[in-house]
Amino acid sequence: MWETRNKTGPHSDNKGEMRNHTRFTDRDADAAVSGLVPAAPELAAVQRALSLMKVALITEPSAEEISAQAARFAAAVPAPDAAPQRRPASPWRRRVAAVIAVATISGVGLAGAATANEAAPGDPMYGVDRALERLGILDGGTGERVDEAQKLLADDDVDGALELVSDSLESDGELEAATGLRNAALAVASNSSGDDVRSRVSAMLEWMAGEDSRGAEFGAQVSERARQLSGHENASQNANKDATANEKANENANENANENANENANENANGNANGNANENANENANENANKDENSKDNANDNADKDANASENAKPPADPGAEGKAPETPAGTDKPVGKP
Amino acid sequence: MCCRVLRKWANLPISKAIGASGGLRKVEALTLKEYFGSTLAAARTGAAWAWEAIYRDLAGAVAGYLRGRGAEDVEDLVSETFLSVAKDIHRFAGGESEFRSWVFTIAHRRMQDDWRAKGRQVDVADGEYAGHAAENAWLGNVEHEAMTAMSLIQVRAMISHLTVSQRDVVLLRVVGDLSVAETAKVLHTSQGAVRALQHRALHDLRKDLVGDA
Repeated sequence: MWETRNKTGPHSDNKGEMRNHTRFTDRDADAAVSGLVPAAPELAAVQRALSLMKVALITEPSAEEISAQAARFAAAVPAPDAAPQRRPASPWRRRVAAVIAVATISGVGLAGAATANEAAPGDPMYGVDRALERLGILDGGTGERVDEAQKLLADDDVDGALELVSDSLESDGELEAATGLRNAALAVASNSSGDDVRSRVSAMLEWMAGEDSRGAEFGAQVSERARQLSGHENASQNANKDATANEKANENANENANENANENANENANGNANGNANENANENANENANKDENSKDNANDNADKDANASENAKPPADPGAEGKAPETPAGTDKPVGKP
Repeated sequence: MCCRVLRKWANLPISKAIGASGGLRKVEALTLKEYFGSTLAAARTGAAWAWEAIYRDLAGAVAGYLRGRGAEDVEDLVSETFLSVAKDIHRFAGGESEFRSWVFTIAHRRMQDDWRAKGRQVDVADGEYAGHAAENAWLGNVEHEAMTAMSLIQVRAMISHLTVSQRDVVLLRVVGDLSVAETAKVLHTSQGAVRALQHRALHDLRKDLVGDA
């Protein structure tokens, strides 16, 4: 026990670090560092040395240096209006500003979203439109894509329109319909016949827009219609099938042609109004040619001219109309033969 | 070796060591006190007299801190520091104490940036660079030499045993005349940490100066 005390006692040669540490207080340390108040005896030497260090390190700048440097710094100070953030805003001003900002952003956002919703591919706002749809803010889906495709169609971009809709169908899971449309797009690309194809695509897109049901049946119908778009053989099936606008036009043309042909034949038989017959023949559909050819046997030379004119005017394009042609001249024969 | 040299100053009476003229005047803190508010306002408008007052007040201490930390191009660093102060003076808010902390913070960061840019520097306290450093930084000023009892080399030798953090604290407290709180702000640490570093530094200095006996 005595030995232990001696080891840590004041007369021991082996003084611990801790003893040295506790010799002066923080106040003593502050006094020694500040150099203003005489430090505790333990730190007097340190205080002297630190004071000397301070004197050695600090060199007062000369008057010339001070004025030269001060001019530089004064010139470097930015103009006061370049620092508008100096004045701290009051809490109320900040709140009002926040409310106005939120109102503005939501107002601009709604207007922007409405504008974006109208956008078609290629428009500057189209990216915004798709982004908002992805966020669920605007309605997306195939219906929207079909509307956009019709805008593209109006700009003659048949490929783009079909591609857009088939992409959309694919992302909706309508794989069969999408594939059908892609085939149609390929066919249109390989055999672009202008207004005709465009009007058919447009009609199909309109039908798709009106069609609410989705699923296997829808896919099958889309493929079927897409197949109809893609070639001429399909066009004949189309003619025999239900009434598209195109076919209706053909039928109307046939009917008109029959009536006109009858009238023309009568007139020709009476040897009157060759000029009128010519005009009518030019306007009429291709059946006119067949009719006139049949009536040629019974009628005068003027009828021959009509036939030639009709053939030149319209080459037969509709195979369905050719089948009907032999019947209609038979009708024309009757009135011709009667008088 | 350096400790034996330093003990010479440790045994001198303080007035004799510092020198009869000027020494004690320099030990006093140079502050703008009640003029600080008006000086700062004028400095913000770019008034040259205000910048002269600020520079006269702080440049010596800032340079002393940088010199004590062994920075190269002390004049350049001081100049850069005050240019930063001038550019950001509109952003500053606070009293003189905060202003001093702010200026020293900028100086501290400038010095660190300078070190990073140039890489680690050789300590010039001892060795072949010492004479070169003394010639550049101090020996050329004859007037200063007459007034000063401790050379820059000896200062460096004295604090060379301290850690970098201890040196920062001692130099900011002694040369920068910053309080514990202001020093803590400059070094981004707590006041408790500054006190601990200060205590430890003084203990080590005392050991070097007086010896363990």
